[in-house]
Amino acid sequence: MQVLLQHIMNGITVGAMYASVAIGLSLVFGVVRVTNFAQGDAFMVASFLFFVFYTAMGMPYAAVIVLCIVLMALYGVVFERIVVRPVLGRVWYLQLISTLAAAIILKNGARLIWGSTPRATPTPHVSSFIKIGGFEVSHQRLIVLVVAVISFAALQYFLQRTRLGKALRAVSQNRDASTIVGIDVKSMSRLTFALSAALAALGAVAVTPLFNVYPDMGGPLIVKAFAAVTVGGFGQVKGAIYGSLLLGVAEALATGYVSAAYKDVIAFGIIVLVLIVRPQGLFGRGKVGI
Amino acid sequence: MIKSKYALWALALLALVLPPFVIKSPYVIHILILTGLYIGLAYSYNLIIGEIGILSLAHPVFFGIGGYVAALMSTRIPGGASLLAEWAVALVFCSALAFAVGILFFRLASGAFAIATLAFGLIAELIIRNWVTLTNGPMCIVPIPRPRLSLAFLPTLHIRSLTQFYWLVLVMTLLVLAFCYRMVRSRIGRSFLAIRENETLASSLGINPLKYKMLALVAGAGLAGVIGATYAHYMQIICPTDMSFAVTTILLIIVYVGGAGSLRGIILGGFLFTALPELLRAAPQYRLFTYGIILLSTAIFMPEGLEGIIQRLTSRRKPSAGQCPVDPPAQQV
Repeated sequence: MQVLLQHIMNGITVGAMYASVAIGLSLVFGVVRVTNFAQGDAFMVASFLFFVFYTAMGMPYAAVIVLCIVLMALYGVVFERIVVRPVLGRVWYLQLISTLAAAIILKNGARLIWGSTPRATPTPHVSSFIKIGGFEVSHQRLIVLVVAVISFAALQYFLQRTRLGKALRAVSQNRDASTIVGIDVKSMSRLTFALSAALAALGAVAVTPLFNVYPDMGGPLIVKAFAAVTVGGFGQVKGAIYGSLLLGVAEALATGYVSAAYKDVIAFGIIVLVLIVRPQGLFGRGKVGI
Repeated sequence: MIKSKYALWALALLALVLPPFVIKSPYVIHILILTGLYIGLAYSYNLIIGEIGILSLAHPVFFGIGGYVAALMSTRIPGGASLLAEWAVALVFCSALAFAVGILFFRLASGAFAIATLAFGLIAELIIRNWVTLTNGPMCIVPIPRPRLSLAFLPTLHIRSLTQFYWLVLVMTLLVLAFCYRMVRSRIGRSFLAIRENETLASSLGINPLKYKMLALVAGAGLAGVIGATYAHYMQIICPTDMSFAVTTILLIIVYVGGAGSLRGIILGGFLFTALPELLRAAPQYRLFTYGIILLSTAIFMPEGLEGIIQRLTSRRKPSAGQCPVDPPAQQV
């Protein structure tokens, strides 16, 4: 029983990491209608920023969190300007190629700068534990949990209640009509990219201390995020969150009870199963809209 | 005009036949063989991403599996198998696998299809890497014996030397290119184009998009398997990394920088991106980074690739092109 709970706790942590990428994928697809292949690499970049500021330079954790989020929001704006804006009117496959090329540049750029050896970036919270009902949880995992709950709630509030969030949802439902009522579609797309990169940063600063940082981490992440989005229903933020948590827990259980080497096959199996049984996603309504 | 066309063909034939007689450096012949393999692979990929316009990122998987088929057949079967038998098995196996991929993933929208095939590729590589009893995992299958061609009525042909490999790859690549080109220029190819340009309109004309997408994916995968089988025999080693995403990157660059849907563009791209980096000995750690930048610049600045540049250069000589976008009204008789 304790072992089972332990696995589920680990799964939720991993699920939170997937969610921080999957939400960005969903938001960008919903608002700009582009599948961003470089979303996993945004998480990688944020993790390396964390490594540089926290592990290498020794800045305080709270300051690093703020710095990473601000820098990654800027990254999102620059990414949108350089990689996405020039190809917006082009054929869909050129848009895919463009973000794919960005992913290749980021991954190999990171390899040039930091090399390909995985680096650990532990915080003191990783090795301090708290006992809850008979099993031990590290403080870092609690931080992940708290950050995840707060940021997902804040995101939902932003999208549902604020003027700006409503404007974003309007654009995702109908671009032309949004333009007519005076929403600046271009700045909405910039905002979407900034938001999705900042979310990846939030995920990175919370989860990275538990795992390693390496240039190739983006590829598997984007596939997992996609699996989560498929499970949850494409282009929907809530679906992306549920899908990520489900996937994370399923993987943790598979690692614990079946085989660690094949845990990635679970993600693929889930995509295939959902596509066969329920192509619109487990929580999907059959149409796109964040 | 006709004469110059024949002269061009004769020149091309000469350029293909001469190298083994003229070039003494085995390294250059080696590069030419690799270039031939990559051009064939890129043009079979072009059927899928260029002609019908579906972005599959799993093409090297079929290439790699073809390689593993050849490696296993020639090392596990006592006495080894004939290359033709290996080609046949690779062709059938990869086509069947592509068929399964199509059935599962064609229901997805374009971008989602791309990521689903990416997932398929990562998983296939993972399985090959972990199924050590069959594939030897990350230790690779090595050495793979040199191939032999045995036909029913001809004496068995053993392919051992570099020159013999050159001829083998030349013939195979030409067959692959001819098959794809013939397909593209036929009714099938025109249906591909109709679907790429407007799927809804195409299906309103009675063209079944699913049927043709499946045909392109299956044909491309089968050919990739055959090329992979030859590649494994030539390199004498096949590894899980031969089907990794790095190979996808290089193929995407050859096709899109060359010009999707253009044979001469892809041949040019194949030479530029397999032969040149090897010959110039570009620092390998910068190579993929540079490729990424080239790919991004292509998407942004020259969406039609080298083919677009060739067309602009050649059409400048004819003053009528470009000045008269609409056909002049037909003369009434």
